[in-house]
Amino acid sequence: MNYTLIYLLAALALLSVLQRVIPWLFYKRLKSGNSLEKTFDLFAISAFSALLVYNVQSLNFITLISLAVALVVAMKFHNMGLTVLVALAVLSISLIV
Amino acid sequence: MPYLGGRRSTILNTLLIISAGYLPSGIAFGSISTALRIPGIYTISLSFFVYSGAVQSAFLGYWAAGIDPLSLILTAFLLNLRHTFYGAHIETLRGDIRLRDIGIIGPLLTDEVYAIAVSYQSLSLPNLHGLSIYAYFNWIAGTAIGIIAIYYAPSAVLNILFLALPALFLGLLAPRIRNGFGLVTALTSGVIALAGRLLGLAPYFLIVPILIGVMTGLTAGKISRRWSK
Repeated sequence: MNYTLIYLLAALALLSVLQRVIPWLFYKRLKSGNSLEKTFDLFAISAFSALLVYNVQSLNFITLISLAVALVVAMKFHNMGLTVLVALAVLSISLIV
Repeated sequence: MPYLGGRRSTILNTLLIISAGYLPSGIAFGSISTALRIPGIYTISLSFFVYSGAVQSAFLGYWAAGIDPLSLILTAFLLNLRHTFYGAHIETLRGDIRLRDIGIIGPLLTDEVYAIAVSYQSLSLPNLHGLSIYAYFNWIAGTAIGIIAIYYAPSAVLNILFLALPALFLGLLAPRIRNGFGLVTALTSGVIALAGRLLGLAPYFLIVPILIGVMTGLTAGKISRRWSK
């Protein structure tokens, strides 16, 4: 049993529920915080960009092409699962060819 | 989003939108998680209890790079901060929301459920309850399928999975870049993260490019507004 991991999961779970419910309960009549939403959007962009760079294990021509095609799919369809599948499909086809 | 008109077709549309988005994403999360050797019980627990694609994906990224709990919790907190305004926004659009509705929809409020709640205002609250629960079980089912599927996948498939995690973040990142500030943020964060990787800095460094990226995006926004005046 990895207790650190269990505590971490519990903290993330608690955080996840509290962040969704508590503000709704306390700010029921709050108008949409558009400017703050934009800041959070920027945060998500920044986090995903850094995590993307941190998780590229090897970069060569084939992986670059796969990611480029996946980028087009991501921008067109806005679907995370489809983007992953297309990236893997292009990589597979490139390796076979 | 496609809209056929009529109440039944609206419900059917929203169910299809949810399944089309959640099942492949859940499968991708489950299979990548298992490929990263995260035990299945933790993977399914993440989907069951955390239920946030962004935070769960960040967890995978941290797991692969080396978990620093404080950085991860801070990242999760900031990633989910946008949820703070979802409930309030729905509240302003629908005046009939009671405590019971918040109790049901609140814990299951995701980007997609929020988008549907504000885009399809003809959906009744019971329909929204059902939709929230449907989305939740789609996500868990997708995760479970991903965990199981990876065990039956041939080794050739496992060899290409190293690209799945970057592609996952690309899938999360690209649709969010809708203007120049977003692009500046992504580029700044990406370049600093690359520098950190090249210099071999510890995993907790990851929060630095994230925060600098946000600050750069915000500053770019302010400068742009000043110039336009």
